[in-house]
Amino acid sequence: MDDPRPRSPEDVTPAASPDDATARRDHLLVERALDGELGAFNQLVEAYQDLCHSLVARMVPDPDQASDAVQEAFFSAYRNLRSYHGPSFRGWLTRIAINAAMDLQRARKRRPVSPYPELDDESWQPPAGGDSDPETIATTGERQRVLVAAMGAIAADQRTAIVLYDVEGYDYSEIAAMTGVSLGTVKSRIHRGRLALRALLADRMELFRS
Amino acid sequence: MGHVPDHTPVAAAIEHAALIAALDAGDLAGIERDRAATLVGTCTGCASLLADLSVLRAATAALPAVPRTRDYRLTDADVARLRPPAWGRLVGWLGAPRSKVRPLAGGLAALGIAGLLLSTTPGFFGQAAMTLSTTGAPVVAPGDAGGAGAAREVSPQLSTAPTTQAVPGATPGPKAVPVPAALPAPSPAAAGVPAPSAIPTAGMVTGPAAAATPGSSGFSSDAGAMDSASKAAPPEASQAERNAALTPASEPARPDRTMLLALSLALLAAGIGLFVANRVLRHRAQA
Repeated sequence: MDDPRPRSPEDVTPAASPDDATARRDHLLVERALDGELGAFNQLVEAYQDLCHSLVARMVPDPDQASDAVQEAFFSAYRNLRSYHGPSFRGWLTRIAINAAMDLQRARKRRPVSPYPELDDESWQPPAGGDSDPETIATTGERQRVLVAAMGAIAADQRTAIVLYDVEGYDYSEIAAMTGVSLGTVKSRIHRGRLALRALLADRMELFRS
Repeated sequence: MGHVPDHTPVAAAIEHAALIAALDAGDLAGIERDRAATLVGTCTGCASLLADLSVLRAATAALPAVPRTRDYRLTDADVARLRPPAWGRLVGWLGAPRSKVRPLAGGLAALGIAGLLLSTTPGFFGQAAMTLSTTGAPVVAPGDAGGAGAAREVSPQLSTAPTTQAVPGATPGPKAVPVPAALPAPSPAAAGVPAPSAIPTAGMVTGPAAAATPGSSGFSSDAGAMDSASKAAPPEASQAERNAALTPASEPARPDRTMLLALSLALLAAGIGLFVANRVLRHRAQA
């Protein structure tokens, strides 16, 4: 997990244009961090830690392991900062985080751990939307709980593909570059993952249809 | 052997489900999409599956972000822990894709090759003089072909001779100088060319009588060398000292040439080593 394997980060289409103000800011911060300014790197961490945590927490069921994976991803990014050559720091960092999460999932496959986080954490509640109707909130919460539980039960590679596509909004080619598989494999994983979710939630589909 | 299609109900159901999932994702086109649409229109289960997949896709996309429970900013202690050791930094530098390792390796190898060429090319470091000395032929007069052999036989006698009179009339050379018997015919041109091969012969000519022989210079290079050696070394000098005084005429370039050769080989090896290390480490990093 030390070195992000060369799944060609340059091949990943940047989420932000190189001309974007965010990309320019990131580039400047990277340069300052390369000069030894830890504060500059920590500004990058502050900018992207929510994104990375959200992504990895969806991929790694165990919350502690997910946090460790994110921390390791930032460590790895710091160690390998010199290998970053643009264009998008966000894409580069996301790829490192995905690699860290996938490494953890491989390890977890060998040594299974507890199920998905939110199910064990009774204090966790989904953020309330504009609709504050208690019944709607309860239904939404229950829906998310069972969906998250089902997500934790499907195969790791399918879960990763679904999270990247449906939750994070990457397209097929970006996911293929990030995960180092072909476009067809990405599509297949997403299709099979959705079918697996539906099979797992067959008894609870009324909750979603309502 | 062709693929035998599986027409069992289970296989058909799996295939249909995959088709519906692809339709839901919008990944079908042409005949496949028409086929999937027909399935949805004719099969209740397929239509239900398509509706469920669509609902689940929307629900998945609507999943809220998982709240972060930890601050991932790095501390000074983290940075100190993450800093690689010196060996790790060296390996990192060697394997870095954009490091200066390859140009440096190329430069070192080029220097090594150039040094090898220089050290093995005739004409450098007194090589010409050594070439002359090893052949010997250019300074031998045609009619004295056997004279050299005679000299080899006579020389030991000369070396032990107490005086130059020990070999009277050995050669038609002037006066009673012993060396000309072992040497080619004197020529003005040859006199100016130092002939290192003759040095051992001259070196064997020892004894005060040889040093004291008048008019020995001017007959040949050997005679000149012997004469200069005799002048350089005092009469009471030992044999070794006299030999040492004689050798510089042809020997001084050898150590320099060897050193250059060794240095060139070292540079070449360093260049190749750097190149190989860079290549191996980069391949390892990519693997």
